[in-house]
Amino acid sequence: MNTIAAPNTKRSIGSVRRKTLTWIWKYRYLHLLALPCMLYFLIFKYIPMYGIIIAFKDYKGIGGFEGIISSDWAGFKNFHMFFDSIYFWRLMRNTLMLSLYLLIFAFPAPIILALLINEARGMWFKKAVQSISYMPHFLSWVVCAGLVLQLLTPTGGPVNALMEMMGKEPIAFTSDPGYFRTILVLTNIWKEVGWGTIIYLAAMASIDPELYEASTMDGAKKWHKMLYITLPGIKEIVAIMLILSMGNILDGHFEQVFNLYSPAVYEVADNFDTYVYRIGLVEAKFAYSAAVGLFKSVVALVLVVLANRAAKRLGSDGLW
Amino acid sequence: MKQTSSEKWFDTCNTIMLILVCIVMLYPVLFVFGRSVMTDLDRAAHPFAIWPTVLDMSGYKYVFSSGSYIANAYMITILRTLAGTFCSMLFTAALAFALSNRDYPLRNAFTLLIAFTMWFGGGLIPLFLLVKSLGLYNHFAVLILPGLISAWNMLILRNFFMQIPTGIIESARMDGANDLVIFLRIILPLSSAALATISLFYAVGHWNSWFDAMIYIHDRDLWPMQVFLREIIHNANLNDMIRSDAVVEISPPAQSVIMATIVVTTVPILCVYPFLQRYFVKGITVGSIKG
Amino acid sequence: MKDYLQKKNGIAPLVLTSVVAITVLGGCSSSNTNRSSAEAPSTVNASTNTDIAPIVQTAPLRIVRRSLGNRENGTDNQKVLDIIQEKSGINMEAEVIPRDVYPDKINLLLASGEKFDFIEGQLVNWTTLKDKGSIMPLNDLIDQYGPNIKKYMADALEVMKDKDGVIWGIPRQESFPTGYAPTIRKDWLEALGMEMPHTMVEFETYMDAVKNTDLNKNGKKDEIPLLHSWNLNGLIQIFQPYFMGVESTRYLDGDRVIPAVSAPGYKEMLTTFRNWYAKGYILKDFATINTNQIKDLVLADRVGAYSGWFNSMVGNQITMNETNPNVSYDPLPPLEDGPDTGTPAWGSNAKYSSTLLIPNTSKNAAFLIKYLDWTLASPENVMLTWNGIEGENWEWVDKSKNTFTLLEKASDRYSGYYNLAEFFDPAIWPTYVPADYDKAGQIESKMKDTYKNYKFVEPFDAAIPFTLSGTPAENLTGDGATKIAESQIQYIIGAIDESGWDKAVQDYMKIEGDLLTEVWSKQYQEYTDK
Repeated sequence: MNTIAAPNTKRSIGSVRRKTLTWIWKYRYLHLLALPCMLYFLIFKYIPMYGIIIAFKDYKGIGGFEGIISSDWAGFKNFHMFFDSIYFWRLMRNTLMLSLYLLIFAFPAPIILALLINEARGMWFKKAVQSISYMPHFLSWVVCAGLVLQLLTPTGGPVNALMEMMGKEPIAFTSDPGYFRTILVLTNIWKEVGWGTIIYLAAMASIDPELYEASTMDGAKKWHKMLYITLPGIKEIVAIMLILSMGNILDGHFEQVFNLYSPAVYEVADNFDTYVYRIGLVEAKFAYSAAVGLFKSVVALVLVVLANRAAKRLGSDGLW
Repeated sequence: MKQTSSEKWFDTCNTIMLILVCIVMLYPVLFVFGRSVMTDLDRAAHPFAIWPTVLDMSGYKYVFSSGSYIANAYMITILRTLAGTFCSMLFTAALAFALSNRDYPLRNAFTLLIAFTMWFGGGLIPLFLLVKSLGLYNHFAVLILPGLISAWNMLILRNFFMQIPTGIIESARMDGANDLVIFLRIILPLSSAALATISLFYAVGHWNSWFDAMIYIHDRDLWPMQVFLREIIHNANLNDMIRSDAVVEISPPAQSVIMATIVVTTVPILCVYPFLQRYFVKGITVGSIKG
Repeated sequence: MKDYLQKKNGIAPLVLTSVVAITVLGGCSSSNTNRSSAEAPSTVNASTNTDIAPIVQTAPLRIVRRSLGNRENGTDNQKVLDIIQEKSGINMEAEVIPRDVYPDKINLLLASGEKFDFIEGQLVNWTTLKDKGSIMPLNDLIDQYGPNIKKYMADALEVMKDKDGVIWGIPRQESFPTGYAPTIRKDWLEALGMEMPHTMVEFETYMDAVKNTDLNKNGKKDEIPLLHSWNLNGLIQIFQPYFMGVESTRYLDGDRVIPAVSAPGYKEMLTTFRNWYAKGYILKDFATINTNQIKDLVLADRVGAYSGWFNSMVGNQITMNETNPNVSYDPLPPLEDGPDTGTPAWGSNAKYSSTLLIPNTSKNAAFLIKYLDWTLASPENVMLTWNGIEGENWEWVDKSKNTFTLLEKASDRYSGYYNLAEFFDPAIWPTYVPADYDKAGQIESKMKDTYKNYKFVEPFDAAIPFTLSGTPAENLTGDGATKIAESQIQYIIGAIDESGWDKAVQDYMKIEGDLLTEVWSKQYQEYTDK
């Protein structure tokens, strides 16, 4: 696919140089398609961004727009409060560790499953596997967390019953810091792995079948086709997904963690998002939570820009 | 061509692994379904069972006894899913097409502006004020407009469009087709797989979302199903935190009510998605480009 | 080339969806305009009061309620509202917010300057809202429009006053402050040949016996001696007076107000829980268990005692009696062998607490006060707003004694949705007498009779308007609360030892405890000097 893209670059350099009026007219249909959508981004995404100043204010949470504008400037006070918190480094560590584990274990999972499904024999079987693996995605985290707690409880949960049958002591998995991250990663994979395959399967479907036919002629084995045709065929989309997940590296997977955690596992579970919720929203400290949120956004943006640059260097088109 | 023994090996292993995946995926979901029709005593006696010894429909009775509210909430959810998915697809596809054109001079600027919004936002209060000043507060449209285009979905779709060989587009242009015609008559039909996929993303998002309704809607007639689901689940969990002094203690919904509500809210989409799946399976097998 | 153009049928489903969606969108927006035009502001004359110039209600009161049980779905709600509006002359519209997000949404409404007229005072902290300037002082309104409020609530209003005597909300009176208490399996006590425990030693002996006897005769020693509500908080709530004399997050140490965690008795309490945990008296996953799982465990005939709101086990007991008529969860009396710092009592609610606040943006506050005052004008008015229509939802048992009973299924039809401030003062508020069909109600009222005789310890700080605003403690972030929440669980489950807990308390005092002590003690001085 990359080879097809190549001839265009010359044209694009030429077109940029054309006069303004000419290009407005030349791309009138593209403007027609793009500009209403950009209007949406302007209204619903860019106008509310004035809210970022809340992070630098002593905003008390009353009075609407006037309340925001008229509250006193606080400089970096809210940021200092956050950096001085005894939990700052713990929050950073927990957020990064969870993302790292998810990147190592949960990111490749749908790719592997997609490869397996892609090789499945029989249309009916393939469809059934797909349908079934998508199912957990439709349950919300509230529901999933309830299920997880029931399956793992040491008072009558199936997992502990099995352990008891093997002569082991029951374990309170969800209140044990030693197991909590594993639970988060496994539940995340269970819920999203099937859904994640959709994008990769669609990408695999757009791989030129002639490539497979040609390699079959050459006597290539299935295993080899998977490695040398299918995998390279989806590398573009894998790169994009990877870049995007780099941007989400400070994302605390709030709904999942919030519904599963308890003070017993704060040590390994508490992250930026749960912290912002507990201390920001519940206590209505809007300014403080805005500061933590802004800090998160800035770091995430830096990370995604770096990831995009790295992806481009490795030969991908990147995000932009 | 004849299968070699290593190919058979490969197929067998693959099949076994996929069946295992299916079992792991299925068990907890069946667990919910089974428990929704068990009695309290039955559930307590058989903590692992997914098949009831006696069929008990009291959970469903409770859910449907509030009658019109549930039906109405269902309608809202269906309406917002259909209308929301359609509107979102319309705008997302248009934008993705414009930005997939490598010649389009505003392409990079727009993509950057859009990607930026994935990490930066003004927060809840400014958005709330905006919604109010646009007259969208407590209006059905608020369930659709603020989340009209997902930057993430748009970028994915753009990426698909970019993979369509330019040769096809070039030859259409030679035949005198303009961008609009190319978009409607070539790109869209060629991308049915991607469109179905992204539609499903949007549809599921709409089906499961509750936060926007909770924040922007105060009229219960406009509440979607998910708000009721949360309500029923959380009522049970919060029971003891509120010191109730009602004369007759309203008993918290039993587990069967919760399970029944989950089933009632999830079954429609579980029925719909295999139907949609037909389109992207079709897209996967037929829609690929030859030459 | 032709191939691609012919594949138009690929978008057929999309076109179909689009047609549906457009119809649907159009239909919806039009139905919405209908609705808003129907809600034209109604004008209602204020009830005639000769002293005051009549004021006109320009818009219905906007009542922002939390959901509770299924009360907002009551089928008679509209019918009752119509009668209320006709009789009181006040128009109102209630909207409902899911209970668990109520404080968040109220904060958002206040932050955005939204105009509404009612906040549930039980779920938010009125001193915080007062300090922010979000709520309205009520002295003048009550003077002008609230003779009945003044008559019945004179004492109770004290808890809603700040140090300058300004009233910031409407109080609630509990019918029953001593309802947080344990219940114990009477039939198991009998099976073990034990008397009802009156000391901690006896209670622990019972728990030990439950743990080590197969009382439910299922062949497994799977009995759970003590279950409790609301994670650790539920346990602390109930047992704190036994160890510390009072249930509160603050502790009065001479003339200093210190955080309860640093006060004498707190560590002894946690150490007791820690021993219970080690011996298996309380659940291994007590930190994460929810109400449904508790219910399942109780119904599986595994639970020897339960601590929580007193009537939590009544419904379960009735279910279990279908197969085993002996099952009975009876009140556990306060234990008498506590430490010197403690007292033989269970945790209590305060007698009076905040129940209704009016946002600063309200334009109709006078009408809300008038409505509350109208409610308190007669037992009939109370009953209309609280239980609906006489003869349809409820009837008098003995009107002279102010007692009533509910008709069957009445609470499904209407259950106090438009009663905005419960105030269980027997002088005005009628008393419920359960009818024959209401088995749960009968068990409950029997239990209430027992609990009412138990010692009631009012938290010392119930009426003191502590505030952090404008003090050095204004910018505390809540890290201290996190420290304590996690350390006390770690201590109980044995993840940290005694010195670890001492260290955690030291850290807590450094983060916020010392500062809070200083601020609270000063405000306590000011309050008692008055």
